Amino acid sequence: MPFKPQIAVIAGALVTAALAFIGNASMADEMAADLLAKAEAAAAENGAPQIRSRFILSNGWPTRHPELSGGEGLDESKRAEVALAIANIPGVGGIRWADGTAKAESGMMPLTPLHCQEDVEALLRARTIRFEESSSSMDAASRELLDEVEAALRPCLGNIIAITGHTDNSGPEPGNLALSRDRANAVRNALIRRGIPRDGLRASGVGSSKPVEGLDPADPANRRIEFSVIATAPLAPTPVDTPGAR
Amino acid sequence: MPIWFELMVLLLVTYVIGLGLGWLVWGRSPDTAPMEDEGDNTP
Amino acid sequence: MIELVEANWPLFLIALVIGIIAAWWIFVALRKTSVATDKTDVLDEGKGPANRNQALIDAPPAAGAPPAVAPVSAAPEPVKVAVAEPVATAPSPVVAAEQAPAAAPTENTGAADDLSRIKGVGPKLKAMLIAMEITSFEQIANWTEQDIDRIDAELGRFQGRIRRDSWTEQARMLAADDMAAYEAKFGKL
Repeated sequence: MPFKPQIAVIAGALVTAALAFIGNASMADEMAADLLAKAEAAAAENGAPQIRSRFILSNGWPTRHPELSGGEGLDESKRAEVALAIANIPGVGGIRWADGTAKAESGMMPLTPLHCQEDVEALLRARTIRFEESSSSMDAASRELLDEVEAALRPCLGNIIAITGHTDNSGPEPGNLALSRDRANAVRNALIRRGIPRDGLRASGVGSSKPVEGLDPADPANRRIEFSVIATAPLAPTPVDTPGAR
Repeated sequence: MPIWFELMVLLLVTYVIGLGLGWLVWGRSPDTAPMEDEGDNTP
Repeated sequence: MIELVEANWPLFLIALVIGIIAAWWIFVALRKTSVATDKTDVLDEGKGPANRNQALIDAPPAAGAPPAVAPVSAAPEPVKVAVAEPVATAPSPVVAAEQAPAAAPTENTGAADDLSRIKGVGPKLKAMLIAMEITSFEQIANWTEQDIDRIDAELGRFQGRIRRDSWTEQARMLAADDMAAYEAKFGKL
């Protein structure tokens, strides 16, 4: 037959494409339904049955890549867990969240800095950093406390730690502001002297504007130093398309 | 991507592999054809 | 994605097979319909006579004089005629007698055959043959080996042509007007 070889190649490709349509007609919906069942099972297993998966594209075609929704009330770690569980089902492709950003976020949850903060808060709950009246110099017991605070903060290096000074509302407010700032700075300098890097510490004073919750602003218990971690440094780059919380 | 699209791509890849296999078996020039040494037929 | 393959493995097998069939089609089936060029030479064993310029062969002869010469030479050379086959001698004087009253130096019409129809016989050879009193296919068809050797010796630089181009066979078929067999063996006239 006087056919050019290219015609044979193209004819074969067309037949193969036709095969694809036949296969699709026979099994695509089934596959999507099967994956849906497995995804719901996985979500329920991980304690989040309210997460819905839709294995369908916006134009109605079945797909292997689900869209997850219903995770608004869950925290990030739970969302990430469920996403990973669904993505690990054999046959499921890439997941996307209906309310997500599709940005690759650090897979590591920010637990370490909170941990630091909790440690320091635990320390300070029992003891206080005492200053002399209306001054920013600390007494000896406070210095020991500061050593322990420094030890507790050391794992958080790489993060920025805020030192905030508070007072009660006795006395003029500008004075309180200045005093609280000086005290925060004194703590900061003390920590720097103990080896915490200078640029990881920010000191500020807020006077009596932020009393402890539930306490009267006049309560002397408001005179305190608070530590908080205000930035977390991402530690590891993540590959794209990692099933995550968003 | 829709399932039918992924299926079609995979099937076309298989088709090309089939073409390649066929080419290996039948399409190569005589000096590389694997049927070289059939035994020397000395006239 | 692998699960897609697993779920549809019969389709993938078919796709692979279609690919192999397409490749077979391209590389084997199409190859067989390619033009087979003849790479053998005329001088090879078993190869027939060379293809001749058929247009030249079929063209009317350039010279018209030889037919007038034949009847003239037929008379002074009765010896040669007598040596030829008795069958040939009978038609030959008849041919000569017919051609004498005609004496028209045009084409070789009448009972004489157009010897140039034999493949391998051109105008020069035809003139020589007619000079030797050979004017018909039947004459040539009935040559014996001796005759062939004798005539061959007279051909000069065309020696060897009789056997090489199988004049006797050609003449036999042309005398019988067996065009089918002639064309089967020697190609179109």
